Amino acid sequence: MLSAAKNRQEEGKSPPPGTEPSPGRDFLGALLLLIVSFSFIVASLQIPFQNPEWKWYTSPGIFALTMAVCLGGCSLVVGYRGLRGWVKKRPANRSGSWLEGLRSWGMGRFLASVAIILVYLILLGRVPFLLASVGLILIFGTVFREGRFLDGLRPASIAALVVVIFSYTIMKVFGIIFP
Amino acid sequence: MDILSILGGFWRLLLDPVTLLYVVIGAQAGILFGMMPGLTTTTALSLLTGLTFSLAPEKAIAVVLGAYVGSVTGGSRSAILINIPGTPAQAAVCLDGYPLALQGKAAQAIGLSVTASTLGTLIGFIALALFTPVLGALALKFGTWEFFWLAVFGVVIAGSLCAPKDPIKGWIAGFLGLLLNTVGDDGIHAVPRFTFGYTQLSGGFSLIPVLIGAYGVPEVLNAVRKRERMVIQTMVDRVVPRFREVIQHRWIILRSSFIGIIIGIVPGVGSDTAAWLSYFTAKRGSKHPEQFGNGAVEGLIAAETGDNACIGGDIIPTLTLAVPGSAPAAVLLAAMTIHNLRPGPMLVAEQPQVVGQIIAISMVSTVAVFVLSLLWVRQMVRLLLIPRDVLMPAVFIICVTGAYALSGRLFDIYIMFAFGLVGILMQELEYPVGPFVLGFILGPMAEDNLRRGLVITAGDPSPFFTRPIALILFALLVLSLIGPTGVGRKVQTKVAALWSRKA
Repeated sequence: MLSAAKNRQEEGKSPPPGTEPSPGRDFLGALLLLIVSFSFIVASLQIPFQNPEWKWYTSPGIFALTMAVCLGGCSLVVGYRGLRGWVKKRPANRSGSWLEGLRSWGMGRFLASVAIILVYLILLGRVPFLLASVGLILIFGTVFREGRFLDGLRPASIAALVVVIFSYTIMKVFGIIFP
Repeated sequence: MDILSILGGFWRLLLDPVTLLYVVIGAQAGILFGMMPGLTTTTALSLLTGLTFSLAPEKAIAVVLGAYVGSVTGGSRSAILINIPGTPAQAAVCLDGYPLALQGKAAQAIGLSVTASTLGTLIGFIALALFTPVLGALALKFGTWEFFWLAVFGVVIAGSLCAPKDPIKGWIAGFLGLLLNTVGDDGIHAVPRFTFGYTQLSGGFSLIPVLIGAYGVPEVLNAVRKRERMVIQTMVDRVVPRFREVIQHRWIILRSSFIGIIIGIVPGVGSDTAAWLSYFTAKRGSKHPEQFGNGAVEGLIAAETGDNACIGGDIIPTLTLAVPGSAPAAVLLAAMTIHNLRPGPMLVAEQPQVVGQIIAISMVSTVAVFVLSLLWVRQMVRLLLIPRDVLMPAVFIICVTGAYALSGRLFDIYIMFAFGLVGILMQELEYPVGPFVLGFILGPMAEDNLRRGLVITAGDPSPFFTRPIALILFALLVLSLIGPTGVGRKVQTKVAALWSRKA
């Protein structure tokens, strides 16, 4: 006894700007990793190799340095490969399609949700946890609602109530003091 | 460790109704977590590890293990009814589970998936009972040099397997995890490293917030980003499967269980790989491969059995070597460590009763999950109707609770969110998260054993290459690094050509 279940994706179905396997993306990713690797190499080299307390082989920076070099080496390979492919494909890139890609990926909703969560994180410790959590759910439920304001508010209010009961139970049963 | 330890564990468990109750609570919580899209097994276990901190060790482990089995099994519910896997491991279940639901066989699909899950889990745990003593005895021969190679090999092989198309990205993810783990005070000399003067960083990044961040937060952000509307109109009737139907597929169940166990033992490769591999193996061996993807019962059973058998496989190296087979197993490892049960060769040798009790809890959890999964189907299906825009912030708050509960630091919540953003960036740049997390988990093991090994030999690295087991592990590491490269492929082609010529 069943009828069809329906699933629909309207936005966010496609990958981000050029997010199908693309050499440009590989290059950018490798660039980020190279920055991380370089920072760790510099910071590791600031830890002395020889010291009255340790020899080179027990130096606190030796393992991190080795891993940072491995990370940098592999990132260089990916970066070089990406750059080569990107230079070859360059004429095909169009800024318009890039912007369209951002939209269809759901960048607007993504940034909005990150912003709301950041505000929530800032409020934690300044506002009671349960109040901040209720606010987070109500804002999410109404900002990202489909249809009328009240259509979003109703399920959000129920979810907020459930979360309050859940958190309160956890607080009482496990003795956790929320910020 | 012998059969008596396991039987002793069963006996103690049966005599302790409170622990049994915790198993049931954990199993039910796991099923709920598993079936809700966005809540992964790792998030469930991380949250429960934090919450059960104040409980006695056996009770806390009972909750965590119950939830582990429950969440892997529960994920199939949403995969079958709304074509969205509850956990990543159930992605393969969608392929045939959802078409079966569309054909009006949702109840049959749920019943078969639960039965296949139960059988897979039980076979996995039987393997756990059989292989743990063997591997435990072998692990006693491991020294600091072997453990170093084991950690590095684990990260590299996870990288190769999680990014089969581009293994270098998997290795990069692993190295990044190993590198980020070095943040904080050094374990030997207590020298602060890469802390930028932040005292909160002196303890490094805590494992639980990192795990919740890397797995849970990207799920939340992705679900909000994708504007999905789900309408579920599925009515579910009788779910208990027919015995004959299960027996008909015994070979698929056995084969998929074997695949799941082997995949589980390999560090860092989780149940999603096991499910896909079991699915494709079943498709290759089927008389009707064209039915796969259109509602083939064989496909559903293979995927479900494979991902559940993986649990037992995952726990084997976790208990014997302290090397987790997957991210949820890493949380189990952390939970055990928090409760002063230190997994590793010594646990098997010195506290076999603990291992026996864990195996007993695992088996009882499987039975509890089977019963609970068939009991509340219609009621729990209603939970899937919650709009995702409302569900996801609630999931985020649960993630916050999990990250905060263990140490009560706001800083851990920030770390969780930061690692969530790292996780989403990695997903979009096509770097697998699995090796990153495994690198993070095995980082201390690799670093401490490397430095300890060099201290023992006063800086002479030769034991890393001359001790027999270390040499084997090193050779395996080199092979797994060269294998996926152009040179490795050429060698493989030549060997295959030589082999076929001989044949």
